[in-house]
Amino acid sequence: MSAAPFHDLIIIGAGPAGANAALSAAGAGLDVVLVDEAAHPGGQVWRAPAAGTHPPPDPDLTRGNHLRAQVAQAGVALRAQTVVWSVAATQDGFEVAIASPQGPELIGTRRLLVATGAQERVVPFAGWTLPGVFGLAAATVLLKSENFLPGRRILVAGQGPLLVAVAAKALKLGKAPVAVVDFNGLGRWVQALRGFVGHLPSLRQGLTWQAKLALAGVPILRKHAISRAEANDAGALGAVHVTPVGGGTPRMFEVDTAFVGNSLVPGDEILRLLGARRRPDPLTGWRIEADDEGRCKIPGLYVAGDAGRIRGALPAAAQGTRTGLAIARDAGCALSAAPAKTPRRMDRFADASCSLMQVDDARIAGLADDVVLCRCEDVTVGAVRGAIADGAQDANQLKHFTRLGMGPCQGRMCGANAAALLRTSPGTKPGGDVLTPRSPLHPVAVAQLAGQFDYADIPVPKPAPL
Amino acid sequence: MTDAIQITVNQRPLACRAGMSVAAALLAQDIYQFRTSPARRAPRGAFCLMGACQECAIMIDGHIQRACQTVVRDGMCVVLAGASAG
Repeated sequence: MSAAPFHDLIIIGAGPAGANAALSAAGAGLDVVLVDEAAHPGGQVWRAPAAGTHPPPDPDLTRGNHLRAQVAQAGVALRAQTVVWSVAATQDGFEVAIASPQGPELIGTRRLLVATGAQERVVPFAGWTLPGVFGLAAATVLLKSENFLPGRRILVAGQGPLLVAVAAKALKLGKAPVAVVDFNGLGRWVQALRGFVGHLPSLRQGLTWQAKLALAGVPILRKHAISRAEANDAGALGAVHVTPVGGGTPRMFEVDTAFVGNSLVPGDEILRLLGARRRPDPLTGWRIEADDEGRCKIPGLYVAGDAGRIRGALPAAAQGTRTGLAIARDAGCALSAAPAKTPRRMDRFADASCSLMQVDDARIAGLADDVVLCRCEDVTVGAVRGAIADGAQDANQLKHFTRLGMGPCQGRMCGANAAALLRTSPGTKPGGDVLTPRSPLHPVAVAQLAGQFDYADIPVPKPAPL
Repeated sequence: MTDAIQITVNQRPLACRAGMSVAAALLAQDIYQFRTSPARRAPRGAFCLMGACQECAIMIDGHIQRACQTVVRDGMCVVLAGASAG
């Protein structure tokens, strides 16, 4: 096989962190390849609307449009609609295996920046696998890309700033939620206000949304959570039961659509596959071990944005710029400008957001046996408890015993919750709560990997001398 | 509807707008169940809408593809069935 093309820098993820890193590194003179699954840069939060969709003005849309214009003008090679399915360290850098509409490719790079963002963490409940139950972040994706939400009777539940955002935007689309179910009490929000003043436009936006929900008479149940969901006759979501946190009489809401989300976790599989380690973080659960400019302990490997530590889009963008410059400096580029630090007030804002999205292990430990933990393989909490009782001591053993994390999502949906069950069970291995990531990092069709080739192109090695 | 195109879902025609994702096109028509889970044959639909959970991976033009990451195309053939199960 011919040698893979070799670059100064490959960046995986074209969200606020990755795309801004690409801009600063390319601006300093590096040859940069920016890879993303989506058709356009922006990531999840600054995502581009689908062609023909015209969502109302929004700060995230403005930021995304600005970013996309910058990337288009900079000398950055954008590889859109491209899935990274494997990465490996080589003697002089890294080799990245990608699959795109053009077929499979191996590309080499001296340095690698992982800016793969975050995934949503949902605290499971009986019935959370029913069609009609969606992630809270899923609602924001549909709103941003399609200016649309499904459903007639909608309920929004979970934790954090997204709750209010999604409920208010549903209201604006004429789909006033039947109820907003907030795990946190008002006291937690008031505490968070001290941090939210760190970004006044966002705070103003949040307060406006709250006011509009109150004016429209949308009930907000504080310190409540969904305890279970029921199917309708067609096998999709028909109703949810909502219970006060700590116990009490459940209330039933007949709904066809529920948006549920509790927290965000770093999408750090590629980093861990290359040997980067997680470190406990009091506010966000964990972070990837890296220095202030995004250097991991593995030479040539960098991280920026939520993939390393949950901070949100604006800090991710600032960090991306900083890491891009750090990479350029490490590569020997002479830089005139010193990278700016993320303003402290942005950090306070991120801390406040994260404080509203905390999930204590005890909540997962308190789930009933019949709740599905691993959606892909239908592995229940009871099955996991049984496996631990049978001797499974860490996450990989749980996988062997139960198939948890072995399905197509590869533990992205269940990993954090399975880890909480392991940590709260006696007899398990301390520090063994994380599934080892494996290639392929995403399901890829064999046809996609084989690509188009001619048999004449397959090199035939010289026969060994007799 | 501008740029109206047509796809088929389980051989029935479905009108949608060019540019939208297959998942959005189905949800807009109140089609919530996309497939059943392989282990328990439980009904499943789109969940994360950002390509991570794989719940919306169904047969699109003869290949298992994520409905949330695939844009509709005129004449596209969608079958509400997932890998190794319905």
